[in-house]
Amino acid sequence: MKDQNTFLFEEFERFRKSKCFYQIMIGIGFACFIIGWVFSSIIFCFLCFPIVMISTFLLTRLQRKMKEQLGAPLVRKALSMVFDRVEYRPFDRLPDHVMCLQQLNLPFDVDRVEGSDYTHVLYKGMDLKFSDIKLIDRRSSGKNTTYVTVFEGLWLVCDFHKQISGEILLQEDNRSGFRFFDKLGHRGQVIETENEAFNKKYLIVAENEHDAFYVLTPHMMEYIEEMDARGGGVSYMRFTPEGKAYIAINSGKDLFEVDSKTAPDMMIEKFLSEIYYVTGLLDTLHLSE
Amino acid sequence: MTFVYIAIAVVVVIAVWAISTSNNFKRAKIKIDEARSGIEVALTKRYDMLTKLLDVAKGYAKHEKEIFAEVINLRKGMSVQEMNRASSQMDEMAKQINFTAEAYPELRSSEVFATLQKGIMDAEEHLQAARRVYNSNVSRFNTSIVVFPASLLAKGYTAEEFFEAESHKREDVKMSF
Repeated sequence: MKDQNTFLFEEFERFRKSKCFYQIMIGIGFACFIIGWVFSSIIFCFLCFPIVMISTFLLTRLQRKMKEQLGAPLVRKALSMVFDRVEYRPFDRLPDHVMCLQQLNLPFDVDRVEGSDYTHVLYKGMDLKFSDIKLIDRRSSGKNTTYVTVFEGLWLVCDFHKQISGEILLQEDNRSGFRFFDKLGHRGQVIETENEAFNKKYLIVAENEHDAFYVLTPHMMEYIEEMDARGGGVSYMRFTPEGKAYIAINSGKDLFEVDSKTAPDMMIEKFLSEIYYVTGLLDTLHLSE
Repeated sequence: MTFVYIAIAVVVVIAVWAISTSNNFKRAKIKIDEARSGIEVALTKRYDMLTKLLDVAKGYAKHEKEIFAEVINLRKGMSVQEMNRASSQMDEMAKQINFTAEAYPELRSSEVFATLQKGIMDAEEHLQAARRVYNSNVSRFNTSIVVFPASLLAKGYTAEEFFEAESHKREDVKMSF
């Protein structure tokens, strides 16, 4: 009986060859289309069109299959090396009631939410859920409608052990602050800490001033700045009286993507480094303490 | 006639500014009072936790005579100096309890002691937050009453006192290798 690694390597080779074939087919299709266009042969152009379409469809299906059959077992393996209890669903995202998109008061409109790599784990006794999230806004001007990705990155929900009486929202991009405050309405007040640099960089809105100072200790403010530097994108945070912390980082990063150029053993290393990116954020914030 | 309109407009603008500035001072004062009562609440919470811990410690350290004899007076409407003094006394009390706990390992390892220690840490964090809220409000108020032109309307107001950090926390950290 073949062992797991040999099977994975064989599968990987098979996927890699198929992917290469479909890519070549798409290339050939395009090349023929251009040749047909140059020599004004409409029939030739029409013949090439199905080749490109079918190859693209098969390539997309293959990539999904790769993620499911090759990526998912490797991701689960990498996750169980770091976390205690692992639940991973490659094609699901955080459900809406877990994400609490509206409550995070993001400074842009969102029409559609997409995502993948739903992960639910236990990290240092802390319940942790995260996934890749893509937020898309539909913008219309006259007859033209465009879809703009306004957020792409990590969405993370975890336990937060400090008891507070009201919500605290924190947003890195201070320029859009006015709208952020508007959305929160009468419930919140803009908080200014004693740290001028922090005030300039972040907009803090809280229902209770004392809570904001209780959560945002001088150390915590340093940790947040450090986490932002690690995160590599604009971040949004929310702390709730229900003991949850919501962190969204618009980093453009896509976690746990299967790459046909990386061998399975190297892929585990890649996934592990992505997991350490997530745990690094939590450790930097000292949320598990 | 135009001159009269301009004069009226200027008077109205000045009146609006004066009313809003004066109200801002009052609002800032109220916020300072609220923040001060926040410190009182945090101090009371910390004191309650320390008293409970003290009772537990006394149960273990029966042979120690006259430990923790100092009485800490907490009341409503304390001045900043009084709150500072009470806070320092509580620091001293916490230090003494920890010192006693060093000598009684069974006290240190007891579950009640650990729970109360956690509670005290949380109370201290709340106190620190309340102190920072108060100081940030005082800082804003003190700045507003000296800045021109608002300072013209701030004749009846005096600068508020800051709630200082505990003296031992301001000292240089001594490190020995």
